Amino acid sequence: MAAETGTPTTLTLKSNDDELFSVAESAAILSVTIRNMVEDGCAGGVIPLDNVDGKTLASVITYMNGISAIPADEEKKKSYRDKFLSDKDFETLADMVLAANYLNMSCLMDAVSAKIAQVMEKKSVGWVRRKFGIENDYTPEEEAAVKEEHKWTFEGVETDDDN
Amino acid sequence: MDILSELPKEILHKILYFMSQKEAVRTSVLSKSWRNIWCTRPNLDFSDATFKGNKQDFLSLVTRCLQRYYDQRLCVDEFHLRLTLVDYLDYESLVSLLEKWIPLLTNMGLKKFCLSLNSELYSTYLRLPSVVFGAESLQDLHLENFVLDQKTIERIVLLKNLRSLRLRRDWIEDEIFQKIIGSCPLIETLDIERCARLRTITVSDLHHLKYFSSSDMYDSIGELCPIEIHPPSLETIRIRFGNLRLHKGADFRNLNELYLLGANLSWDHMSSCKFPSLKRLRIDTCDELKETELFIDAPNILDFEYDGDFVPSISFATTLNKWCSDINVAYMRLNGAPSLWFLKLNEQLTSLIQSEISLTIDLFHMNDIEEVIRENINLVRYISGGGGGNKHAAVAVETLSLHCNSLMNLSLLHLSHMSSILSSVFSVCRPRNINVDFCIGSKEDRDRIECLWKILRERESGRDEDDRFIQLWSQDLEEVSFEIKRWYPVEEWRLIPLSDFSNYRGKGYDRIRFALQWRGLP
Repeated sequence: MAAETGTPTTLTLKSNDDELFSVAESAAILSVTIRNMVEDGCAGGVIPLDNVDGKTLASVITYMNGISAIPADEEKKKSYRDKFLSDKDFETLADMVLAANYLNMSCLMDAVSAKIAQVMEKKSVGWVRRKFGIENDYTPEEEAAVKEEHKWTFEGVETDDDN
Repeated sequence: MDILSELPKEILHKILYFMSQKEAVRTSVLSKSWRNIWCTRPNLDFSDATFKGNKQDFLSLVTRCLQRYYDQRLCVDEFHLRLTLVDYLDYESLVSLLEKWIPLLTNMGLKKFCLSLNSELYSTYLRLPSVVFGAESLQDLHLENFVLDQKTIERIVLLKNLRSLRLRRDWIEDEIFQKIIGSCPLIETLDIERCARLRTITVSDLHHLKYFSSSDMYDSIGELCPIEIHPPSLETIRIRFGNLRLHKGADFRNLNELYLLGANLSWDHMSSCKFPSLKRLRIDTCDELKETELFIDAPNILDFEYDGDFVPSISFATTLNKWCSDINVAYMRLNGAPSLWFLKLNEQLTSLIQSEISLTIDLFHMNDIEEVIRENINLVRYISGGGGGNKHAAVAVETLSLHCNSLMNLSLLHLSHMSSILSSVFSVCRPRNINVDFCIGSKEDRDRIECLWKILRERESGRDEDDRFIQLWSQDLEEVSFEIKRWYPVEEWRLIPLSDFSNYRGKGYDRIRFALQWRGLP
């Protein structure tokens, strides 16, 4: 069943927790991974995305639809990205960067990476650990030594109130 | 779960890419898996603005870092350095360090180099060391606040890899600029901002130039700097306060985007130019356009935006019917009758009738109410008895926004004008939606919304004279609804009863509008 020209082709994507999503091919091929699968003819049935869960995939598809509806206009795309990422929590951001990497979507990858970097800016080490769930495996002595080694990077950083 | 720390090094480098050196190094304290990520990232970004110690300590920190990269045979693709100079000693040490760093960096494959000075020293002494123009590996060079003179370019080589050059607040004369351009034949991106001494920009020899941007370029007597370009290769042109020289009939065959802000150009010549690929055109505050009828040969236009304090006269040669135009115009009563202003607006909208029109009117100057009514009578007379049949038919507009708070913040005055103004607007266009700006919790905004609701729904202005004009459009207005669009989770317009709105608690990105259904409009 070849797609008729003129009618938009829809792809079905499957997350690793077996949720199914339909998305317009024109939006989905923002992902180089998906584009390659389509070009190799693997898109006939369902496209399994083994490294992305349903919650993250739903977000990524919202982004794909949103950004592909904007014509070539970098400023508007940028403001869409800012808006899109504005209400994402830290765990979602970490999931998204992983998904963007797996799906090979450079624009999303850059936007999420920049957002994470921006969130971390001037924040105390304790705050970043808590927000992103980073496990501290240094002994207090080791941590003090690393801090001492890079003392200059702690000037002007927000003080940590409860760590 | 610690998702971040388990990410592959390439992804962590990507996150660190967007950090300054200081931020990146500090991540080493997060946990053992973060300890050495920063040591190998391929971009370096040093700024002394956040460095507490003295300048010499800062410079030796940079030197140590570069030396370590060099010793470990790591790559440095990008190197950013921002430096504030307090005395000439700093400048001299910078010059001698650059002599040392640049060969190392070239060796490590440096592609992008951004060097930015911040200084209150008398600027003519801050000459860019000539070693910079000897860095053959460079693809991308940004220079800010330097003097580029004969000495700077004494060691210039053929920078055949250079694709992008950005000069910001540099002191450079025409002859030096031409020599630099001449040795970088493959430049694709050129961005020039506020460069003193540069009197003309002639880049017509750059046949690979795709992106050209020039901002705030004036000569010593305040005239806009003339700009000569080579049209065929260009894909993007952005002129912010400059004088673009256009030749009659020029073929901009690859131009995608043209942005003109406060620009001067030969508008007559522009009407004869060809823009077969142009997708986006933005004309903002170009006052010289006022007396011109501009015709744009852009058969593939997708997005046209106009901002200005007069109604222009712009038409397009296109057969497309899926494009957008965005007209933002200020309604200023300087000279001429307001009714003529609205007629002119009607003519401009008529020539954009194939596109989906968004219209924003900034009501800078409100007339006194008697005059508005008098002018409404004139307008109605023109439009109904204009002689040319339906020459002045009201044009369908997708969205209308009225900004009434530019100069006058007296909301009561606005409200009493609202009905008259809407009657004038509806005689020249029929908006499908009226967007309303609002701040959560602003009583003024809520009053405005209620006032609009009264006029549109109940067709009541509270004044007999205005009610006469309301009758002119009210029979065509079949339905009015009040809608809200939340940004998240689903972006779509939904009906909301006005009574619910008074208790509404939303977010800053939410939008509201009135949706109108007009007789005869699909």
